[in-house]
Amino acid sequence: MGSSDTDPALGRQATGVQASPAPVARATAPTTAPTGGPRPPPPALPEIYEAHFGTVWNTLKRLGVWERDLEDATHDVFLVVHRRLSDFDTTRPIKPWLAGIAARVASEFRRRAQHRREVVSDTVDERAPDLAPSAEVAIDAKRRRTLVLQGLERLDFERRTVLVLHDIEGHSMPEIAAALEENLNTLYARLRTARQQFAAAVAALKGGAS
Amino acid sequence: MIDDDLPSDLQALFEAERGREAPAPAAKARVHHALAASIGVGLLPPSGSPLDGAGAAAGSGASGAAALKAVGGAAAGGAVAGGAAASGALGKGLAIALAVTMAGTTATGVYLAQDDDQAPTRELTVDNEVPAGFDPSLLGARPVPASKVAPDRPAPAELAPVAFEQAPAAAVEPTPAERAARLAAERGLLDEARGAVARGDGSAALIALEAHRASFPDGQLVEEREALTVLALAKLERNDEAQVKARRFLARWPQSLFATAVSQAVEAPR
Repeated sequence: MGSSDTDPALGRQATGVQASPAPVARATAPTTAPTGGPRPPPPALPEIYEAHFGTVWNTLKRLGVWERDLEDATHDVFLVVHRRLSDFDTTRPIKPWLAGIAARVASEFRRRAQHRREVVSDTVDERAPDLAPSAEVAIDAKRRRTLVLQGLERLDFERRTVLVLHDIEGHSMPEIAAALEENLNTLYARLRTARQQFAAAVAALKGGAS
Repeated sequence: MIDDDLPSDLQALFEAERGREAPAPAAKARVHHALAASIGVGLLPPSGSPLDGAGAAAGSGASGAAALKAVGGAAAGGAVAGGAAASGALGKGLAIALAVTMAGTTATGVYLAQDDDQAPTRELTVDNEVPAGFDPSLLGARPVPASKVAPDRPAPAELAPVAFEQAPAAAVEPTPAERAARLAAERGLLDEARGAVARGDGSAALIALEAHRASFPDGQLVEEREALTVLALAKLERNDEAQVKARRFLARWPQSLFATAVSQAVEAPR
């Protein structure tokens, strides 16, 4: 399925998610090498749902899907998974594949959010923490997470995506390139820029600048 | 190496973010329910963990008291072999499923499946609680004699019939919220069917329509469902069946807003 402005099968208007990250040439071998025999069947959807629901949810949140849209977006991710499961290359890890689908769904939800002319910073559900330098050492994990989301909000979506998938979620760059169908070198350049911008954003947030 | 470029303060922030808490179980249950309604597949929760009350209550079309439970083994109802029609709709190798009834007090999962190219069509069991309105033949299923169903073969987990069980029926009127949720569930299935018809995918449309038929045999959108059934059959060039359905439709709803579309579909099926 290609990109489409209307995908009635997704049950929502203008979802337009590119559902199937097609296999692309990889710079490195997948972690599970083919054995030469027939490909193993993909896991069943219920297994995937149980094992990866939380991961998908948090990926969508990190990619800027609004809190109130998270259930719908997660639903759409697994709906795409259901549709594309037979295309999944079972010799590859499933997490990057899911992340690629989540990125496409998140992109679409953010696009719709912008159409609604609402403030995307709604994704940061916690109140902005007190990040005065004197209190910095006392920042707890929750406040750090809030800071991360606030910093991510200052990146454009493409940079945010590669930063989230690599630096936070730990996918390898070749895996991300395959999942997003993007050029590996382009992604490396994007990641460097994303890190610089994120670091600047965090510094500004800590300093109280907006 | 790019990982060496990450400053330690950012590493600490990302480490904290990796520890983000899991979403609430109720949210997981609600998404589960919505997904089951969207694709008609009975997604099984982990063994022994029925949907919690919050999720079930929020689930479209399902009563708040519903609990999801797998019922293993071959059921005594009619067995069908299917998937030929459906495989084109959802892609090869994908086990497809089909009807999750949530009508009344009992709901039953009915599965059709087709393995990947290397495996033959699998037989599927239809639980004996199949609603009267369910018509497997619309999905291209054909009856399988009971003698051909291996009695000792365990049902694959993904094909095991699923039952939504709930407390014994109490003849209570649904609340407005329940009615709205039910209507939304109906609408979702028919939207999927309509979309499939629009893109010429009659098989996918019939799957959604059968899911609706099984879940909501006397739903609020029966008229629309039957109209779409005619259109879907016509897309598949199953003209005889489309004609029969069209005649029934026009006899039952002669003034329907869908009458013109139904008539045109059987006049010039595509």
